[in-house]
Amino acid sequence: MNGIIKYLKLYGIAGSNNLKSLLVYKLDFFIGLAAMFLNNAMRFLILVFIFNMVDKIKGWSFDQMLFFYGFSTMVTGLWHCFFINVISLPYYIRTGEFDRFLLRPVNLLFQITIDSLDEDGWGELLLGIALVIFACVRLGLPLWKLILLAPMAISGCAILIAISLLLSAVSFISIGGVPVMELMLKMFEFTKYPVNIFSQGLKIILSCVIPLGFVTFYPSMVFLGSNTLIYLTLVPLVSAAYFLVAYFVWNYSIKFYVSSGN
Amino acid sequence: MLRKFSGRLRLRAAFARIGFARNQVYAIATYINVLSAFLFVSIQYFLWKAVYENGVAGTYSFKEMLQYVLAAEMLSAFIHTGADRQIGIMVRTGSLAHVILKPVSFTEQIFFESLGVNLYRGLFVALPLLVCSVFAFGVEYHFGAFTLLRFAVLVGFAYIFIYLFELLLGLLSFFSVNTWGINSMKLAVITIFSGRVLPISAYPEKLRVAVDYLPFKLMYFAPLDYLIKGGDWAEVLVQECVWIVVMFFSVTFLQRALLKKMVIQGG
Repeated sequence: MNGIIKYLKLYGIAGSNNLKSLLVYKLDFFIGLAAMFLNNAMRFLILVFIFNMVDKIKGWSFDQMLFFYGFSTMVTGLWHCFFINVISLPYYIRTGEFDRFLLRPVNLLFQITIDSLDEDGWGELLLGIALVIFACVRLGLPLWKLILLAPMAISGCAILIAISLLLSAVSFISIGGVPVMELMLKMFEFTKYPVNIFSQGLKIILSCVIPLGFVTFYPSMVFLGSNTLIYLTLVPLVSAAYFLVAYFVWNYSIKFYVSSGN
Repeated sequence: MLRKFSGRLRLRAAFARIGFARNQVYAIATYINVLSAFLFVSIQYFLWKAVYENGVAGTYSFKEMLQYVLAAEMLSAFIHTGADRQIGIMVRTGSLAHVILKPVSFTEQIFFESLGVNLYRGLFVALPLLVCSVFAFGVEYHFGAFTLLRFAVLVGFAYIFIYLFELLLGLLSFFSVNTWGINSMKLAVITIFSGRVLPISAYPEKLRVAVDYLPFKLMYFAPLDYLIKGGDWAEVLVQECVWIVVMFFSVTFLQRALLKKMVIQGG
């Protein structure tokens, strides 16, 4: 219990520090916030335009596609807000700042996570939540299902964190650094759509190898599909398992890299 | 006289070479660029395939939509000049004051360096992307040589417009100090108003009219629509020239205003 309180306090301090440093540039901050919201809203509008042309996409109605899009935006927004600093690992190692993390008696991943809380993500997160709620209302989902949104979103986010851990673990083999961010963003695109629009091979990859399907599609089936219980148990299990594997790989490659005297 | 001219020409070519060479160091980054672009195109491919399955009465057929999507992605690889980013850095580090007072035009340097950078990206990102996508999705391009030439001209002029526009943004960042806000706004504007993701002819009527008055469609939609659908090439060119002139005067005006402000503040 003590440990959790300690981590929560640290999180609060780090978060407010980040916010303060950003508010120095007040005008720019608000322009940026509005822009992020606008940006995400625009991409959603494009979906609306597409549905101007057609009624269903692979059997999915507009409201359902809206749910997928909103849920995905919510989960990627979560990642953007709180966990994006994971991919800065190569930067820390290269500049030598990494050592200060090692010296502290606090979990390594936690430290890297809170070192910089991105401001970009808030517009995305807010929009995602708004879209999801809007879709839920339009779909007439029962209230009790709404309670499941948070845990499903968290397990979806866990997959994203896991993928970013794996990517950052391999990215510091290259000198110039690998544009992991760009790759992550393109991967996020895959999560905005239902998995069955893709070819069979891609479907398998997205469900088993790089489980982007478990970021949005399968968690969404808890709300949109009929076999709720199956998905409800499967999704958190897969997320937890994948996350643990990614975490161990990440930890191992850091120790390996650091101990080889770089 | 001629020697001076050729000297300056060589200087500009040198800038371009610098830009080109700078990118060569990051080979892995280039591969990742191609990969992410390819991933994006493939998502669009599947999405549009699913959309068109039910038959769509849009202005673009499925094949044309694929052409558009792929061409847009290719363009995005090499038509951005990074002028806003570079000036933003200068603003933040305070070196803008020094640079603006120098006799050698830093704006020219940015322009020609960007040419080098984008030549690299055109060859090593856009071209591989084209090859992979044609192979993977069977996208077909059938164009006459003249159409392609005119398209190239449109893209060239669009490039100049983009350069001036990004220059303007960079100078504007002087007022908001941090570039993040302006950068985000730029992304938002380009996403919806330039036809980057969806041809503007697919937008609902009212929005289409509004977007037509803005210059951003000249970045992606106008040239691409000409390439794929044909139409009045000269009209697009005229619009581009008009907006280039507008941008040029805006930039000059802003530069002078900034210079005055900096001189008063003491740099």
